[in-house]
Amino acid sequence: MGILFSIFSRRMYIILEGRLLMLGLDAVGKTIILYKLKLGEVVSTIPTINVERLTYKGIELTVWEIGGQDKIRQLWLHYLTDTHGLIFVVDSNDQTRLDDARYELHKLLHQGTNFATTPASSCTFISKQDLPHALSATNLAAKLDFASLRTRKWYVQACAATTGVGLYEGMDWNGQGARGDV
Amino acid sequence: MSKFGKSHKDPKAALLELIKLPENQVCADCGAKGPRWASASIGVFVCIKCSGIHRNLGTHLSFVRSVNLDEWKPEQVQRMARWGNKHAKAYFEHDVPRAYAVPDEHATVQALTRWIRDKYEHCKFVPRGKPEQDPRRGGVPAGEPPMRKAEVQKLSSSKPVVAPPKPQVAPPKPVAPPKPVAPPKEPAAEPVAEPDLLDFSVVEEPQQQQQQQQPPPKAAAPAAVPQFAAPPNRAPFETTTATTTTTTTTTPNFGPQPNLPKMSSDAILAMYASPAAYGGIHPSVTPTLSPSRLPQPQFNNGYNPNLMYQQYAQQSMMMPQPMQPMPPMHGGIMPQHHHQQQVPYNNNNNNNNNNNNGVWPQQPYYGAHHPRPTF
Repeated sequence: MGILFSIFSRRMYIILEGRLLMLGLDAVGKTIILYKLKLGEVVSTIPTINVERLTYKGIELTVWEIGGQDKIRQLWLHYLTDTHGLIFVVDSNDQTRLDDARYELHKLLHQGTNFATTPASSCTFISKQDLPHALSATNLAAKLDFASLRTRKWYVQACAATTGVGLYEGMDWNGQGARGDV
Repeated sequence: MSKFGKSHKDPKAALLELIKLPENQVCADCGAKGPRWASASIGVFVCIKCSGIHRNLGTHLSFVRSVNLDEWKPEQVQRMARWGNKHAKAYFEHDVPRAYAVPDEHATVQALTRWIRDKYEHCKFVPRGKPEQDPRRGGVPAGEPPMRKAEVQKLSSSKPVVAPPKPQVAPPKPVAPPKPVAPPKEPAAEPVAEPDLLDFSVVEEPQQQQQQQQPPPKAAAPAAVPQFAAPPNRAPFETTTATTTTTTTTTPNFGPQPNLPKMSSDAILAMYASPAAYGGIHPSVTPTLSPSRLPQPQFNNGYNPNLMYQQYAQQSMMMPQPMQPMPPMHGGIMPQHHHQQQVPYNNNNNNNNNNNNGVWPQQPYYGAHHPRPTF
């Protein structure tokens, strides 16, 4: 009876797993976003590589979050294998490094040969919307040249990680991307 | 070799020389030994713990770079050389009250955050009346000669925003003679042109001034409809309410009338004889003029939505459609409704998109505006 029940429950709750990769330039708020999603609070961070498992709406997501320093950026490509989705974080308050962000994003998407074969979607969090001089998501999507990404599903979500605004909307899209619904 | 690292080809090498200085061997905020991170906009070397707090300030207040992991621009290294922990501490910790509990490296993150925010965000301890010495505004430490204008503009990575002129406070006379690196050309008449990083209201001003200086937009140059032109003495950018009130109170001033081509009476009559007015069958309309009369491929089983209903009604009354040929049978499946009369509207119930009208086999629907593939 117990065996039957366990089989039944296993059939009932299909656990989907996904592997997300969170990238972005340094000090754009990747770690803050990750721990806001994981713990629901704003933590003080130091530049590192973090891996956390999240469960969001029945999907277990393993979020790899990698630093954005110039030397660590060269390692991004090697984390791209078998990812179901990419979260790219851009600091909307730092307009001087938008060109860097665009360059890194497009380089990543064009060079990632392993990544290109997998059905991957890229969600871009436009972080720090609560700060002054923040550009809007529409403005940034144009500046990051998303229109040239023809073969890839993309989504731009404005957010402010310290307050949590916009994070769950982006994660909704990521969860659908991990399921393949999008 | 100058102090500012100009002789170095590699800025990283100059930076590694800088971090060996004794004042740069400790963190500028908490005093931990061996800092490997730095704030390139302030010019201090900090430990990794304080660098995290600096990053939380935002890049407009403190732009954190790693000594080991990041690429450094020559201008940034130059600023690190100019300031360093010694000069930056002398400026940012000038007026620390005695009662203030300055945290050390074992302090909590909250205490460190409060200290760093007070220091660099609120600028509580800077010497009074010397905000222009702030390294983020392109200032130089006391006793240094002011930077040249080209140097300042190179340091400000974004476009140079002209700040309102501030009174240049003469730096106190140094004991040592000033370095000959940056000879001041016009120290009094040259305010430091640098985006005001702390005062957010300042940056918006030049854009507004530019908007004010723009010429008024041309009032609908080749438009076919005559439009109301604005009175010439009014500013081009005003709210819409102001526009409506002024236009209603003054006499209606029709702007410059566009030069419409003189039309002949035949042309005017031809406009009335449009296919919409005559059901598309008026004989006076030449078929080449109207795009709906052009020979078009028939996609919807011959149903042209541009034609009127009466035509189809006549067609179906006068000459009914011939019966469809019998489709071949497949595996004993007898298709129903295979000889249905064709009607212009969609009457099959299985698929609303499909205008196949029950003819078997079902044709794939490629959309109304897409050509069918040629096999």
